[in-house]
Amino acid sequence: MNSKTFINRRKFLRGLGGAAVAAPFLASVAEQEAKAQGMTPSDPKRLIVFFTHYGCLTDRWFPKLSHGNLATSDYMAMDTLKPMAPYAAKLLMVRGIRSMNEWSFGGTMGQTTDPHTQPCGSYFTCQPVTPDNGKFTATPTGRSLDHVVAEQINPSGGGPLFVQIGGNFSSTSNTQAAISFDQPNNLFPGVSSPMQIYSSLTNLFGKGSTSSDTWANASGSSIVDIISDDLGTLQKVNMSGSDQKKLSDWKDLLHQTSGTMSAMCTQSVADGIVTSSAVKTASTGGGLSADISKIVDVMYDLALLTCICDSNRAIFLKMPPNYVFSFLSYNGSPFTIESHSLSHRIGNANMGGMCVSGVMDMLHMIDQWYAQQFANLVGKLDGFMEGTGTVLDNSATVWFQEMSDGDSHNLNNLPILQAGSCGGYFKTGQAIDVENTSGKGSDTGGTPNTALSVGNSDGDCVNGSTLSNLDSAGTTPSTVATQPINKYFCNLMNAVGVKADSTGFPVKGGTQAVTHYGKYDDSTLFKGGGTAAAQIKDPGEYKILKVNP
Amino acid sequence: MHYVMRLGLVGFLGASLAACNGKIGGASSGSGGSNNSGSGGSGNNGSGGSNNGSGGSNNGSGGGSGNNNGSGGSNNGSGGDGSNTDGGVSSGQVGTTNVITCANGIANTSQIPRMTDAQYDNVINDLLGVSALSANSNQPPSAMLSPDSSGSLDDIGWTGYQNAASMIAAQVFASTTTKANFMSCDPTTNTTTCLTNTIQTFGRKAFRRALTTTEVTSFMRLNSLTPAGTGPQVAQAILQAFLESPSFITLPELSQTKSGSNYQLNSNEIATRLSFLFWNSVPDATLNTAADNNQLTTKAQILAQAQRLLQSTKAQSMSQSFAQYYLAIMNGSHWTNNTTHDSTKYPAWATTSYSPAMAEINSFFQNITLNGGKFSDIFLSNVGYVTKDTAPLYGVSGTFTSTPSQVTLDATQRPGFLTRVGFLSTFSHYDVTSPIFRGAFISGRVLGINPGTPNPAFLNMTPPAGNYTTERQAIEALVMNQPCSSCHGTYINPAGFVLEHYNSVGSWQDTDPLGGSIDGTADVYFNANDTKTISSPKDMMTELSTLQNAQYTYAQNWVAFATTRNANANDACTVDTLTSNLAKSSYTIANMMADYTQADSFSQRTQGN
Repeated sequence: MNSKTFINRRKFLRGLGGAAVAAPFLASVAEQEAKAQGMTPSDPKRLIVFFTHYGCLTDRWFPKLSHGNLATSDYMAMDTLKPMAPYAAKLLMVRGIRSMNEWSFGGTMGQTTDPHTQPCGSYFTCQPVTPDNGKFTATPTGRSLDHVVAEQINPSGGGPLFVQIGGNFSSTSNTQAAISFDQPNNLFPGVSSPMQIYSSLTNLFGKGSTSSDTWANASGSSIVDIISDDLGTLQKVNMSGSDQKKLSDWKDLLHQTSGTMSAMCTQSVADGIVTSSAVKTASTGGGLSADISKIVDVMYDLALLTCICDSNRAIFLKMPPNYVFSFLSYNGSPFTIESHSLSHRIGNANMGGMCVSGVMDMLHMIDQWYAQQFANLVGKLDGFMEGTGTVLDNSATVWFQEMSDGDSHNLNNLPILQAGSCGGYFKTGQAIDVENTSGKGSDTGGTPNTALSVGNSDGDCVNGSTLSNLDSAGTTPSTVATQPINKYFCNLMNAVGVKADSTGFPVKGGTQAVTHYGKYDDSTLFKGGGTAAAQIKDPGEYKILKVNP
Repeated sequence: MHYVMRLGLVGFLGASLAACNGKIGGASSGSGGSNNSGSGGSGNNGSGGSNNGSGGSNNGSGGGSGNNNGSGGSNNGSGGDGSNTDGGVSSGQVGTTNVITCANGIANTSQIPRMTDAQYDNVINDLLGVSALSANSNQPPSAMLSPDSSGSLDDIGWTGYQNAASMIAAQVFASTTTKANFMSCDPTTNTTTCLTNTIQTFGRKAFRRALTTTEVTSFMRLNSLTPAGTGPQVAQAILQAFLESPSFITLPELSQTKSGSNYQLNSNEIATRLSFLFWNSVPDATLNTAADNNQLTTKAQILAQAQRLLQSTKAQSMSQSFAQYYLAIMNGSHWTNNTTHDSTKYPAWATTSYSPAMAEINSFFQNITLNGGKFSDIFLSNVGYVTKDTAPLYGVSGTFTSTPSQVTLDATQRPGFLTRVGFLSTFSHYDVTSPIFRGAFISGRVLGINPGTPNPAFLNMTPPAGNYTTERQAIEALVMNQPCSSCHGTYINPAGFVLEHYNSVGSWQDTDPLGGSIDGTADVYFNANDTKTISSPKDMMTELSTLQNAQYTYAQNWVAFATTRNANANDACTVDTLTSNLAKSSYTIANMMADYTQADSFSQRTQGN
């Protein structure tokens, strides 16, 4: 990706979209009601997440300035995030955050289930994982953010688009890399096939605009009736509530998929973004051994097309775990060690040992590749006009990482980079430390820390063959940069239009701002398996992140 | 020399050995099932709702956790990633086995489980002769589907089924060969009769039961549309509709015939259970005929069909899948994580050694399962599958290619799967062995003993300085003090020490790379009543081959695999019976698999809340 490509593409899409681009179809109920009442409906607000495993070399990832304006030149000077420079004005680097349920020596910061099962399971749920000793099998006791958001902001009310790039690693017998849960303790696999995503979108092309007096339309409608009959037959049988719900949810889908979508959702627009042949190519040789470098761009195109068709407003893209970046080379040889083993510095998933030669350089290359990918995604979203801005402007597009440093497995001082203001809700063009110099939340006053620690990833293995020492690589002390991620999630939910009930927790049909999320907002409360009473110690958003606090 | 070591302690939970009331073939009536979540179960509760509180229920953990701890390595040493044994059992006091007290009753399962993606591919191929979609780069049909899940379908999952159906139908009608798999008449002549017959005939196979008149009428509506389609168009649309139908995509169990407090499955539903268990696909003509003639009502009839299905090559896939389940071969496990070794230190190891070593594990279990092997063969068979990349590791001579050759290995050095390169090399570190990895696997996964979950507070230890001449000495020094010594010294390490005769890449060694002679004698804890001094791998395998708790663990895994639900008290009755049978000298693994169908829970179901 480069800026030239970006500019050309943007011009092209503007021309392609034409007037229709400036008049998006009003898909959601709220927008339709707004129009009916003579109000000016807003452009769709979306939450788009880019998720990567095993953290990063934090001291090469973070800028030195942790609170203040970050211009293009600042990003150009960054070691890892240089590809983000063209978008500096639209970026918000959120500092001082800790995600929930850290695995730590001595079990002082969370459960002791597994260094990955618990941070992944708790990341977007802020809930403990059970069973407490289920190293491979534990799952969180609540739903994840993608589902909580999707049910409220999706025009259809359907679930999120959760894309597992490179295949589905997790299963019911291994949840170490699972981040999406549609029900408490129920893993949501999402989708991995570009063709499946593309086909689901092409089904929408031209909905409502074609004549109904064709065989194709008549037979399609008739097939829906046949399916409905079959579901009806099954529904007459006495079944468990769970089975009945599956059937009723299925029946709902028959109606959802027959709805109309954005006027921009056409084959010609789609062809301008991604061709079916490109999708086919990207779908070939899928699975966990797939070369994701040949897939990612198509996935970003499909994410954009999903936005344009307004078929989903909660889009989560996850990079694969345990991935061998064989398309990257070190000293002339392709990588042969998978990413988890590299993150441990020692070439396997164990803890402690002798560092793999060149491991820090390899990790840095992976970090840079991820940064380039996020830039590519952001560029595509910023290349399509929507109303007075771009798809990116109307969205909160956030790069979340499983942890801070991959060897230390620490969750404080989390690397988070947001692109897009979500329709003017968030400040951009700066880094904001939500923790003041007293180690407290910014809303309590005090002075934001402009030189928050960047961690100490290079304190380990930097000389090649030294002994890997886990505790030397994280951000110390562990009480630094430890403001709960729950509050940032509240920001994101409020920005995209999620509502809460009187308790402040997000609830479909609610009318209040979201102020509470998860079971705990203090990682230490997860100790002992998360059996302590639910407690949100610090409710509310981070006002400091908002344009209008 | 540095050692960084992760040790662990284990949690203490209660469990006990107990007798079982209900037995296979018995007349147990049961009193309601337990609430078991399981993969195919219907245990999830609560939809929607806020994300506050703890929310939701979670039942049963079953196997899959367990401990695991690193070992101090000489160079590239060690420590488990928080530790795991790649399986094992999760409950029970340390040192006790995974026995669950049998309780009468049948555990709940969903009445409408969706086919897995693998089953979908098999079914499409068996019914229509389509194994790859030309419209999707010749990927298998399931490439259009979302990954397996047991929850409600979402929008993209549903459209995946729709698009796959559309592609498959188009491809079927593009070829006279595949079209003949769907229909045997010409829809351009005698259209109504042809389509009606096709709906009835193909529908019988697709829905795995005869269609009702109402259902036939529902499909025939495609033949009376305005504007009307041509005969072939209507036929293709009918096929597409079948492939989108919930009665095709799921495996419904709808029989309302009561048997005590349970529901008795009808012959069609039993045929479906049989074929999807053993073949991962639809029943064949023989099984369909038996079902249509209501000849799957007795346990003898069911057993005969099970035995027949197990004799087919179509059971190979199941045998491999179960082996992977039993051994916990999955992403993130040692089996898949520790795939590289120091080829400078071990010249017999090549980067190409890993794949054939793992393939041998599959072939080994497939051979035992489908060729009359017994439980003891799992630990004693010296049949091997060697390629040019693994022959040097085994020290066998001859000409080998990249295609595995079945060979007879040294019966003393290579009895059973635990002495094979696939296991030994992955349960090792890059350049040193891991007696802890190996011992923990045997203790937790094979013997069903709970080594528990390690406490991270003890995971950052280094062994005392010393001039160790064997890896065993280093490990013993590392865990010599409490709180490490009680678990590692008793339950975990001894079995691993016996396997110190195999180096990091699985080759036999009498001298440790550190220079000392291998000491492979250890007091191995087999269960609470059985600790023996073992001096050789062969002696340990001989013990394992007859141990009841090893048989129980194997049977428990089989039942969990077959039922797609975690081990539970209701299924424990079946496990008890199969365990007893496995102890019989002439009883084969195939016998065990077929006998599972004799449990009441195979031919009956309960209904959840």
